[in-house]
Amino acid sequence: MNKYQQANEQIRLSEQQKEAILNEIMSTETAPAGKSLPGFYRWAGIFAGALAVVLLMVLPGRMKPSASSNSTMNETMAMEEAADSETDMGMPAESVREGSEIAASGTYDAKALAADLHCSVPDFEHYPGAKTVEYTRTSETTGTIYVATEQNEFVVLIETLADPAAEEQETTAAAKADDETYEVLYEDETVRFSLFANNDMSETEREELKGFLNK
Amino acid sequence: MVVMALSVKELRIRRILDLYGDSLYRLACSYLKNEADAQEVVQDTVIQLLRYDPEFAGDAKKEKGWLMKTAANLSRNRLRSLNAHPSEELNEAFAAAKSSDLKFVWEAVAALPVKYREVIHLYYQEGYSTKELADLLGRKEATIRSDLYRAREELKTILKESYDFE
Repeated sequence: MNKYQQANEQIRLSEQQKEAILNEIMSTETAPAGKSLPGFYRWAGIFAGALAVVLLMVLPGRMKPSASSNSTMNETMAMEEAADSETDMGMPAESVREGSEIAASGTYDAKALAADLHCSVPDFEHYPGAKTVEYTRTSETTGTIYVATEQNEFVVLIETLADPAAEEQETTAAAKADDETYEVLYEDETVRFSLFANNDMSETEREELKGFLNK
Repeated sequence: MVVMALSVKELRIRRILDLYGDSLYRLACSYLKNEADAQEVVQDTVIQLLRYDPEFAGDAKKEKGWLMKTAANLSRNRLRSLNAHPSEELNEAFAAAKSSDLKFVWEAVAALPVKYREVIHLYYQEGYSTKELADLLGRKEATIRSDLYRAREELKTILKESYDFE
């Protein structure tokens, strides 16, 4: 045993600390991430289901509204209201596509978001260790990419810069200048990718992400 | 006789803490120099393990590597946020609370910059090779070797200046 190991000998987790950690973890939700549907997909499922119910209700001549169908309608509306107010990730309502679009296209992927934002969007399905990737459009000129890897999760903010809606961009940029929670990782004349600071990334991983965005 | 029924989750946590708890805790302490923060890093590391449930195929070395890498990442993140919002607690020298004849060794290592401190800790405490360290810290092996060299040089200077070692 070297001297550094000897010096470290006294630094041990006590039984009380182990018990405290155990109790804290036991009271924390730790379901494996891969075994439950990510929030966006869950909401997409709800939308698709709600849309199917609505279509059945409004198709002419199919059925007359009854007490039970009213109750189904109310549940549907309640679900839609809930989805309108906030998504599972706490994103604003406009981050979610209309129900019909979701039914038609499932959800955003890199290609769909790139097409809607008129800029390049990297395909994070190929990001090293990516387990869950969710693309979201948050306004005419902005979007987000949520990425969960085995050891971390982070959110990349996308802002298109060549869009004619310059006014909105300026507002976003001004808001961001005052907001230290974003770090610009990549920027060219058409798009800017920023990292939302509330993440568990090491310097190495940050560099890896920068490299990925720079490809 | 009272038989306590332990859940699979609880058994798994106990196993992880018994096998790797001290290593994770020491690693976190080497970064944070603070027992409460280090304990939370250990806790968050185990939570990440349960949440992502990676496959190790019974390879204990792989399992420990994954845990150490996660603990290192979480420690660095916490260190960044503590540096942004310095607390009184962090300024207290963690080593001072530990009474040992070799306290100065710990203190000297703790005085190193983070990137040297982590290679010294993982190399001398955990016995990782430079190749393993390269994988664990996401740096080139040559960089790890030069970091180790510079860390040793800096340690010599600290020990000479602060503790009068030749």
